[in-house]
Amino acid sequence: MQENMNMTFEDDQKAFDLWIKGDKRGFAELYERYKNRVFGFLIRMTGEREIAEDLLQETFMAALRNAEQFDRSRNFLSWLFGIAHKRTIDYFRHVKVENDHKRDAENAVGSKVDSPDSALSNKAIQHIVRDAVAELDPLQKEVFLLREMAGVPFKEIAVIMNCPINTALGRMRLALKNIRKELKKRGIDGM
Amino acid sequence: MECSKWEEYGLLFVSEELDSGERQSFEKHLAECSVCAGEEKAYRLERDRFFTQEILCATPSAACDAEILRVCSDGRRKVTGFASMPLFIRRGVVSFMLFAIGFIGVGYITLKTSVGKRDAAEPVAASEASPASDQIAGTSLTPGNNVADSSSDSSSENGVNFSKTRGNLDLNGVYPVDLQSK
Repeated sequence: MQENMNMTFEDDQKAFDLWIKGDKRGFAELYERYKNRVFGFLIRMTGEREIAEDLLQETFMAALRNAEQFDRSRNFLSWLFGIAHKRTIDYFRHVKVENDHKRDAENAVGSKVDSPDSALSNKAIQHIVRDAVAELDPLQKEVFLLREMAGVPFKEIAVIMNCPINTALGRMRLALKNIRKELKKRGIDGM
Repeated sequence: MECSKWEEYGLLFVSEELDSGERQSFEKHLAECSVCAGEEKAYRLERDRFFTQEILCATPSAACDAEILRVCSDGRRKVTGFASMPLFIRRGVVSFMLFAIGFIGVGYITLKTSVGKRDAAEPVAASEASPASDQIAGTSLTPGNNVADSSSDSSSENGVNFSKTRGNLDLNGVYPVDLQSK
């Protein structure tokens, strides 16, 4: 696992250097490797596909513009998610829709049908988990996605979100607790 | 029921962010604490089952892919351009250019205005300041015209021959022709 991470780290650095020197293969490699994760993060955060696609483009363009600020000792993906985080914040500031993302757990899932875990198809489980993530408070959701989707360490999440590490850990614990509660309501028990 | 050790170390343990001493200490605690052991097991199971790339990730459209690849692929072109400069420098350059354009514009307008005023004042000044040119012009006129001019605008009150358009004719060495005396 650690070996794979080191390989990826070195591959990212090589691809990044190629990209900056103008070799299109460098960008294509990085983009193919990370587009789904970054796009997944953006679509879970914004809830809209078109906006997520715009933000995905802005994220990669901002990465290109600020390439010289990239700290080589850092993980490329963490850096990229840091940029995606800023784009998302800018978006929320711009459209002032933060309140729409606040969770109202009791009302949101009260009417949904509970069914046994075993009876649910993979597709249904996917929808339920995505809905549960969508219901999270934006800050909890962001920590959760940065950790589970991008694999960003908590120490870096704290840097990206400009908060103490204990705050990031607290948000993650709450996110897990809330997701667990949602899943149970819909008949899925992770245990 | 919750355990404070899980809150402090649990998530960091699963994400492999504890140093070796902390990790060993927490592993010992896990062996003794059923709450933390249960939390750890549940979290790992959830990660394997629900928090997968397949569930959480999404794929952008082909059009979006193509556009991003087109715009961002050529790193060198972008990085060496004006857009690659830090924002404060770009703003400074743009501000300076706007200032220079404004300065040149205001200077041009001021210059045009002052030239216009000078042009408007010049005929009067020229007529007052250069009677010699008129004198030269007057010598080229036909005698009839010269006579007509002298008789129409000159006066010789108190012995001074004065033309309304050419000033003191005696001082300038020009003498009106007195047709009547001729």
